[in-house]
Amino acid sequence: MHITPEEAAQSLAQIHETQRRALRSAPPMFPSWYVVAVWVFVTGMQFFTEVTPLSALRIALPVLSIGLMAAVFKFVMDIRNQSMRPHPGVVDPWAWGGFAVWIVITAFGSVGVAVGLEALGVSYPRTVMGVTMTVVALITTPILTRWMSMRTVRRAETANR
Amino acid sequence: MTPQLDPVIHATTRLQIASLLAAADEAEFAFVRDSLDISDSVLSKHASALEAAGYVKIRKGHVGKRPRTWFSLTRAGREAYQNHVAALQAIVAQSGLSVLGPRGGQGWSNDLVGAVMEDAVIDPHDIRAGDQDRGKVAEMLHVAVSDGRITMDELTERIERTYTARTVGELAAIVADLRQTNVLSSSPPPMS
Repeated sequence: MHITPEEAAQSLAQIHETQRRALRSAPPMFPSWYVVAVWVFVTGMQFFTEVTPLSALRIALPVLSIGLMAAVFKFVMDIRNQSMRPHPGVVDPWAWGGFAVWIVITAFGSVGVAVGLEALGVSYPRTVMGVTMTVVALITTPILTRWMSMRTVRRAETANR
Repeated sequence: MTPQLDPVIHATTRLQIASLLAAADEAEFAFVRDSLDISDSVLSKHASALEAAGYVKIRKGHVGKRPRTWFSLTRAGREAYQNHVAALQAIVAQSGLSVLGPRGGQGWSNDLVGAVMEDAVIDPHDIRAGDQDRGKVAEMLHVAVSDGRITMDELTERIERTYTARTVGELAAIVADLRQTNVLSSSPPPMS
């Protein structure tokens, strides 16, 4: 089999373009609703341990746990059935780094919000914190997943030029 | 060992499928079809060929009630793809163009491609092909069939590629192994 350097270069350019286009049209790295579901679970736990009597918690705990398990199951299925999952070798490590930083910030942030609300004398500070963080997750997670995808595409476009 | 071009994934469509799957853990049939802008039948045919060669794994499942198919590169497929890309890079490098060394063990080969593109893809092969160019290539393919140089299956595949080719370079690749007629030159080939 023989091809000219120009044809080889053309093939390489086509490979680059194919991969760039595929990554650009790939869905987000993970479904953002899942993070919101986790925060709904956390908020529910805060509500039933802080606001309602203990007897309600006995019912709420298994219900919330089953809900969380269903969310985990759906998350796994959604990831498995995605139209395209980028190969780990092409994902920008900084994208996962940013995700880790976001988790740390929201985790510590939630503690800070709860402590702050308690210091301010707000009623049911942990529950209010849960609602606040659910809204934060609802707003920021889609931005985060888009940013992660964008970093991966940009890496594909500018890799070692 | 010097990397060799792999005849199984050398054809444009198969190379496109392999390169898309190299960037993916798994990709769904419709995603691949739409990304490569090819028909269901063309994708099915090439995916089956790649599966028969042990390069692609096909997983079938359902999303809701709808049946779906996912493709992924096998380990052998990923190695074959990487070797093929390395062979292409070697060909370009031998021509005097600057090419970076291969990054072993990763599905991502475009570190090299980026460098190649900046230096190499500035030739007449990037010129947009016209209907006249495609017609000449199609004519050459029909001559090649009547001469017994390619089979009817190859004709079908190449004709499809011909009429979806965007650049003169893509057309040149289709007839690269049928050089005698030189249909891409500005003057028409002498008729004997």
